[in-house]
Amino acid sequence: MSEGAGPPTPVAPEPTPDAEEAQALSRVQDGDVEAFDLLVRRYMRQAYAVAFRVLGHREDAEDVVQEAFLAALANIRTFDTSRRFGPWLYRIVVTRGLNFRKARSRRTTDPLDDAGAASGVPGPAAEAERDELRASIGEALANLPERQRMVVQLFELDGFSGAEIGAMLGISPGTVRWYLHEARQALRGMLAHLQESAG
Amino acid sequence: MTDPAHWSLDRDPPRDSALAGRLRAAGGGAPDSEVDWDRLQSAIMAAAGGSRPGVHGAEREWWDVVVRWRRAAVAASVAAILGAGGMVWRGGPAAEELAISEGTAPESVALARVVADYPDDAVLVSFLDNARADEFTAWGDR
Repeated sequence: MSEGAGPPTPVAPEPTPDAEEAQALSRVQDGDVEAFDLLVRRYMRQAYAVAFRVLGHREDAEDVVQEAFLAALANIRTFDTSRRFGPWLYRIVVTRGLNFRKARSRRTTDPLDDAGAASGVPGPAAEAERDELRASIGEALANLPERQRMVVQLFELDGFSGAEIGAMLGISPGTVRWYLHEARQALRGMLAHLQESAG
Repeated sequence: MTDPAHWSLDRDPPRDSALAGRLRAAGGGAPDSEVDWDRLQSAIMAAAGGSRPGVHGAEREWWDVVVRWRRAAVAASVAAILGAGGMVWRGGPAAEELAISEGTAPESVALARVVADYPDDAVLVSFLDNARADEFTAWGDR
């Protein structure tokens, strides 16, 4: 992950896999499916975060994560074990997620509503305030182009680096940073009234 | 929030903790607390076991199945051999119990001696083809 203040990042940007991962990859390539378990445990949560950003729906995200792991396993012999497994997996997750979304386009999804269900139960006043905040941020995010929205969420909330996001979305890290800059600017503009009312 | 001018194409900007806090407070985080990770992991591994790639990435071949079941097959073979041996061993005393006893009625002894000279299946065919109640009765009365 990149330097700077903010929440700790869940994925380290190592250019090569650590010894444990390299060994697991080698064993899986030799047909030892049990060794795949280590990779599943290591990358399952980050893969889910990526899938959720694409789909905005918890159960669909779980399905896509499972699909992506199986697709990775089926093609594991084509994988260069000198590289980390995660970025390759995340790219599969994004591709599968986009296909999944197309296939189920008739389903209405609202990522913020779904995500909000995970929260605790606040009091009536706090709930009203929170609803207003959620609506404002939801509107601000919905007004962003999809790539900007995904980039800002993956970077700020999920802790991925620009390079990792670029690998997932098939764009350069510089483009990711540009999208991030644009998204931040847009969100600042749209949320300015919240800062004023809070101040 | 982070200074808007503080960014570069060459390196990631510092994370904007204020913006992240707002997004998170509004429920923008992925709802990973709702996910049953153990169940998801088990589901993935169960599915992975059913779609194991071959050495060359192909689907599973018949010899993969044989290799997988070889221990069970060996155990089943050993059990079958032991079971068959046990049945043979128990069959010995049972045959002796059927041996002709000197205390048996003379007619039965004579019949048994005749029957003993023929194979079992020949005796059975003979009885099934020819035996009628009156014949047995007549033979027995002689």
